[in-house]
Amino acid sequence: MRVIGKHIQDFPRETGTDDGHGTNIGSLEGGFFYESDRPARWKSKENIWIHGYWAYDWANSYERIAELDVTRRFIRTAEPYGNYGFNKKQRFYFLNILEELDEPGEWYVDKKAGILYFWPPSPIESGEALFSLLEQPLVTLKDASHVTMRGIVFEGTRGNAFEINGGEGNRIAGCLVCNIGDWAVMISGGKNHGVQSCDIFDTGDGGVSLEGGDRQTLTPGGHYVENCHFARLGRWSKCYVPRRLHDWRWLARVEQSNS
Amino acid sequence: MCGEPTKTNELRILGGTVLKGFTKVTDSDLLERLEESARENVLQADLRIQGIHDFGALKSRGFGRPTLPAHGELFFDSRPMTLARWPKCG
Repeated sequence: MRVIGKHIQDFPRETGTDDGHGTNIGSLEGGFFYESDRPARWKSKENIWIHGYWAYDWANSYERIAELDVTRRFIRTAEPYGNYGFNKKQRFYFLNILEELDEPGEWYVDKKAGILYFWPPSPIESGEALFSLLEQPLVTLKDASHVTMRGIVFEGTRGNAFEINGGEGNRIAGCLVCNIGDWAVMISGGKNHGVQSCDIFDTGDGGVSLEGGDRQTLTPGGHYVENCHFARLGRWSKCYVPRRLHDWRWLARVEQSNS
Repeated sequence: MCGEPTKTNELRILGGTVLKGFTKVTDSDLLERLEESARENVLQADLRIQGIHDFGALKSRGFGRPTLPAHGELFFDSRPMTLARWPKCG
């Protein structure tokens, strides 16, 4: 039987306050109670994380567990604790637990031993296992102009794939940008930069961010995204990052949305 | 960071390392911690002997949080793999 999410069972009574909309929610610092004995099986309680929509379904976050009391079935998270408060019945899950590596496709790193454990979804020799390392952008263009990157695969990094600041007329065309830790493309300032006919898959945050133009004079930035295919964005930041954009031209700024 | 041609002669710019040297898990203490169904299937690779010393760190991410670099992530055949979790969905 597959268990779908866990739920916040309750919070310490004394930490409850009205959220301003008539719901009693527990304070973030006060922690919450859960409803399972499964965590008692986990040998190491170090560096276990939880992901949840703590008070409302539109605000998620990943938080580290600072205190896991398997007897009281109680969790207190490390700062910044979560979002808004802990609301009963909100869903969450645990991650980064060796004992839970029990399905194909799951992995875990024992940092002390420096060993990665992995259950490959197909024979290990049939595929490529790539571990991301770089925390800086794969490509940075600062005040550069008329640079075109065409037909290249940009893949497997912890940070943003592209950061373009200032300059004019740079273009990312016909590229595959995938398995990115943060954003695929961040363009800020400059003018007439664009992303054209690219596949952008599996980013941790958003897809493409365009910022340019001048609001006071209503001068357009001229940045554009056209004929691109976006899929599976926001793997880590699931709320309020642009998830699907197709042809957007002549924008002063792409506003963030939940769509 | 390294660039290498793919089978179709595309240039790939990678922000990570292709892992090698996967072997079966033999440490009995470790096998004990795994589900029985996983013991035969989980493989291990020593990251340090492949020159990887910075494993990255999970960070508080999500709604209202700043954009910070992701932890070191594993991708297999160009798809993200799942950091071991419970429950599996939701």
